Amino acid sequence: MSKFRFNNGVALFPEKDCRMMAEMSAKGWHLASFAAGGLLYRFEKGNPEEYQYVFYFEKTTSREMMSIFEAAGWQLVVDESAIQIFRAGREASPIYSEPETQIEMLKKSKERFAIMTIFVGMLLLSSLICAIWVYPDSMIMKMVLMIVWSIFVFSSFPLVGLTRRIKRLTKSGGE
Amino acid sequence: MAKSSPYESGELTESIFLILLVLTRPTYGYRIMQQLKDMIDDVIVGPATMYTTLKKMKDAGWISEVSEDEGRILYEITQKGKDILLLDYQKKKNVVDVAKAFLEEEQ
Repeated sequence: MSKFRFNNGVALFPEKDCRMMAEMSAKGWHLASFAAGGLLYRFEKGNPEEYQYVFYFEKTTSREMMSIFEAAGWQLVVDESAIQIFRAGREASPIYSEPETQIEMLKKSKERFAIMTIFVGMLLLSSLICAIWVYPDSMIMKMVLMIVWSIFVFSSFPLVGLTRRIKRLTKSGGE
Repeated sequence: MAKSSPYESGELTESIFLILLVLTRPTYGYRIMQQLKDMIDDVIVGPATMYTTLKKMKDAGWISEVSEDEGRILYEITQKGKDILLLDYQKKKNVVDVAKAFLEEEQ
């Protein structure tokens, strides 16, 4: 049996989702995977546990990386589309001990979203031009425009969120 | 805006200093954290910080991979890394020496 919860936006509200996952685990529902292309989280039934969760954004994972996380008590639960979710018991220490390394990681994933936003932005512009001037009466063109628009929002929101988090972290020197 | 990175300036953070120190003896990446804890009780380097720091130190040529065992990597400090470590050690020692003399004079 599985339960599902909505993804609040990994890059925008990671802490909120991590808290939700910890609450689910306390009730005996443990994160198992993403579902519906990342829109949902899927949970499986188990024994109630006091877990904490964190996000990590590495393009590819390696045995070396996992062995370091495991030695610190962090188990990889989900590894999809360059997003990793780790889980550990309450006693495990945070995965970042220096804010500089955390800021660096956020900057890397911001770069990825920036490239995607620029690309989708250009696509949006060209489909807008097509929808207004080239095929003003085409219903299909309007639908394409809607789809491209939603992808644009999907990639630019995290970009704004990441930019704000990096600013906040740089100012405070840590979370 | 930002300070230059420790890998350019050679100004080592505490984590980098201690990891380099541990790696004067060949050590597996995943064992370094435990090694540090055994040496100093209250020093904790998180796994994400450890992983990034190792990668950066390798790119800077301060450490190298000696061998691999089931995907786990055995690291060792390089001569360049040793020079950097000793330079930083000397800097830290000078500060402590000055502080010591100053405090003893006080008494």
